[in-house]
Amino acid sequence: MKRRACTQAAIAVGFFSAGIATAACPPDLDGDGLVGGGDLALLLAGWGTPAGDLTGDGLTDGEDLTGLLSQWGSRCPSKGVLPYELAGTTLLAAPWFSPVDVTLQSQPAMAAVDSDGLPEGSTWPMPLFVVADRNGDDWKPGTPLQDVRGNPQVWNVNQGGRAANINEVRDVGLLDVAAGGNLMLGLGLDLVLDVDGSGTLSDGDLVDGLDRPGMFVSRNPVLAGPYATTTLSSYTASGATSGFTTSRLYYPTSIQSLAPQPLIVISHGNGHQYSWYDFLGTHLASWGYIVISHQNNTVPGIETASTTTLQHTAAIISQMNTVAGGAIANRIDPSRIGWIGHSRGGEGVARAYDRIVDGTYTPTNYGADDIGVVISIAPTDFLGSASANPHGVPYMLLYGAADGDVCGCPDNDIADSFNLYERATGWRCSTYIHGADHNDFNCCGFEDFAGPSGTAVGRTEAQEVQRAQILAALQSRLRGDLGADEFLWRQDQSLKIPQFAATTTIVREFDPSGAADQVVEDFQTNTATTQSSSGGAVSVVNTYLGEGILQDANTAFTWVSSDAFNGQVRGRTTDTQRAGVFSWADDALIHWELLPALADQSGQSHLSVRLGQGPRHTYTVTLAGPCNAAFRLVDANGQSSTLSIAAYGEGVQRPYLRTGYGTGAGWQSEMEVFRVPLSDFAEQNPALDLSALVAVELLAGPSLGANVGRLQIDDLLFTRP
Amino acid sequence: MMHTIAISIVALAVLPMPDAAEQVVAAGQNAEAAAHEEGSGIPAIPTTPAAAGEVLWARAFEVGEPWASDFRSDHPTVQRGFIIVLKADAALAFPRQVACPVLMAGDMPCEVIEPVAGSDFVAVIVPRLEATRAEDLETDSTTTGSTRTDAQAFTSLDLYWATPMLPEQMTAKMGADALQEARAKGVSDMWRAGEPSRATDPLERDLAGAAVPGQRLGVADRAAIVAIAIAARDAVLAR
Repeated sequence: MKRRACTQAAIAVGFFSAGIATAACPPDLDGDGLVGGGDLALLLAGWGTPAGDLTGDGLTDGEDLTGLLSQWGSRCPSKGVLPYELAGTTLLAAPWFSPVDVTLQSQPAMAAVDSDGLPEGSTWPMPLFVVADRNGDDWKPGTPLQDVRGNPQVWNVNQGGRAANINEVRDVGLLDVAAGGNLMLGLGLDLVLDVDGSGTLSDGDLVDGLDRPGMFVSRNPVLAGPYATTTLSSYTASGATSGFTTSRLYYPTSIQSLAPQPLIVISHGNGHQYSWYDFLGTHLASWGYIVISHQNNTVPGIETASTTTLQHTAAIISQMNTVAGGAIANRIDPSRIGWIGHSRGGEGVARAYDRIVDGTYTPTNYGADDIGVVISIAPTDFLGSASANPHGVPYMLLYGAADGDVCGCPDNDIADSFNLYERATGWRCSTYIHGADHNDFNCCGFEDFAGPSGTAVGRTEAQEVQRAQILAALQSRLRGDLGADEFLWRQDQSLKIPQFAATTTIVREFDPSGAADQVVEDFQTNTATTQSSSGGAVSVVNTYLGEGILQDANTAFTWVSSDAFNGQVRGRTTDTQRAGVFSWADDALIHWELLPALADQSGQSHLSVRLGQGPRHTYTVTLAGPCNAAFRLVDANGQSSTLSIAAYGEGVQRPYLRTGYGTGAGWQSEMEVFRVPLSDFAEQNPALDLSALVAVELLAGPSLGANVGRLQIDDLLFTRP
Repeated sequence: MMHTIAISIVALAVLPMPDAAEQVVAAGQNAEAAAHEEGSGIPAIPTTPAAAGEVLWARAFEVGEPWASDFRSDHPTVQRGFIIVLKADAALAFPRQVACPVLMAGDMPCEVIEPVAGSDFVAVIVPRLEATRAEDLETDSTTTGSTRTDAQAFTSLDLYWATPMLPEQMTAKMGADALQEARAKGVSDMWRAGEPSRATDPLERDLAGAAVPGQRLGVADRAAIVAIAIAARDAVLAR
């Protein structure tokens, strides 16, 4: 949030020259960040002169002394270095550049600065330093800046705002990301624009990365990690259900040289085999994880499948010192467990967690808090709302739009994988791949592709996406890898993984569900269409905002006006997740009033929303492509800033053109997350006051390139990483 | 009393006993290849209740360690029953992720073992919940008596595919209802009608040539039964 950063959010690192009182904290005469004895000495030394004047009357006297004593012991905000989001990516449209943290090692890293926002006294050109990540107290005044590339690069800053000052951050792709046994995807770095050219940290320098890395130079999560791997083709798990005791083990060959590592448990689906996930087990092991893939008791059902997941998890923890001849002895960290299940196994892992939470199953050597993430690949939903429920555990859904088995069909709740995703109440993400079928996510299942001819992505690419997305989710939740989340929400056009074909459509949802989220509208409360769930008024122009349950109302995908949420196969009748829907044939607007409690969003980083085109709606059919829309922020002074989501990618994707279940083409609704940095709004209009917002508006229509359209909308909120 | 035959799995020599899972992997790959060639996906679920199909191989068994079956919600204890290899409509036997037709023996779901997509050969454990009846127990002392009683029990089985659902969710009442419906539709005994030479006395037709044809197998536990069932299926498949 550049504007806010430069004007309001200075960081107290105290670089002030003695005797110079700051405007923000007049009694801090010596500039040490504290009001104390040093300040009193200076004031007394200047008694009767202007030197110690705090009141502005030109004379140091009793009034100044009273003012100083009244703030005795206070810590003063100092000007210090300024937080500034330098790293980012170029955009296809205005604002042309957007702050993000992650750049693939193989691709150019970019950064930008707004010349209009630089501190007074800045000298151009100025050096840009890339420094090792540091935090908090490490930003000490006078610290020499040491560029990890050897030397800083010089920026010739131009007039013309940020768009005129987008530069490549040179040579960061050459850095050794794996140095020091780094198990994060990327190398965290900080950027410093040394505005005074001093070569040391000093007052007014722009810093990207004060409290977390400002940028990550990331390895490609599709590719194998740094470790050679070993596979134990089978071992027998003690205590597992008879007939389902066999499991396969994958681990880094050098595991004994590593600290204890997270445990990943893979639970296959019905008619599948534990030996079908070598591609995933070895991939994760190459990134340091200890992985098992076990026989799963799926034929009876989900309860039995969940039992084998629970049993095998306990077994490998208790047997780690003996299995594989002791190769992984004491190397499993039982407080960091990830469960991955496919199809019935995908529901089984959610049910397994539910059983622990419900207290109907008590593992002997781990607990609910040790399950760091649950990942379901195309899960079934036999057990329904209460039991096929991830609750608050971090949850990921991976799903193919051409799934011929767990099909996402409107007539069969069991086959609707998104039901589980919608029930997840914690951190969650989903990856939905056009043209991927059910068994693309294992090595050897039968062909079940169900989609338009020529749209199959095939097993190779589906598994590349699978490896990358699952690894990113595990890194995020089990290693605290701050550079992993962006792989889970950025549009492919923004974070392009070379292995993913340009023609492949990947639709992502991401909801960190952070405690700091400020929800404007999630449709769960205040169900009147004229009031948002946050209590503000809602009004519309040239459209109608409907609200309802995320359920297709009949058993077909044919568009009928009585089924406003056609295609939303995301819940059973016992589920309660709601959303909104609207359509347009002219320029339209939805206006959400922000109540005072939501006015100050200066502490947040993004406006987030999820949108999906209405499958087979006549307007969706007419549009026949990605749909653009825009969001506008309005402040109390009447200032506003508008950004198009198409600037960040392709807009809201057209639903996968699968046929069946009625007339027309288009499958289940694909909600897709858009996270627009608030700093981009400020970049568009520097006068916008993010601390005094009064409204959020959504715009759609011919002016934005969509003459007609139909969108489903949910989870409009302000968030931060 | 239980009459345990001292016979190891390896001693069932003519039943090949490779790694069961690897066998199924190979079968799955073959099925996938076939599906590619035919351009087929998942077959539609046939109408149920439906006839079970043809029993190609069967053996009675008794285990030393009874188990609580996961194939019905009340988890009945299974100690005796039959291992069968069934040639069924592949669409009925197809291991879907969504609800599959449930193979029933009377009012009790059978335990289908590691089904293979696209294959019409199904390895099945048929539980005999009536096995505690006096007339069954008293014939255990002689092989002949045991076999005949097993044969009688076997040939009188109601064997059929019931409505798709998860076996673990089926109650005894639902099982009884399914049986009633299957009998009413005349499908529960159709498995005996196809090829009388095979069906009338299947216990005499140990196609895999086990050591003592028709003799009830006495083995330790369910795991052994599962291994035998898979080996039998693969052996039949290989013929």
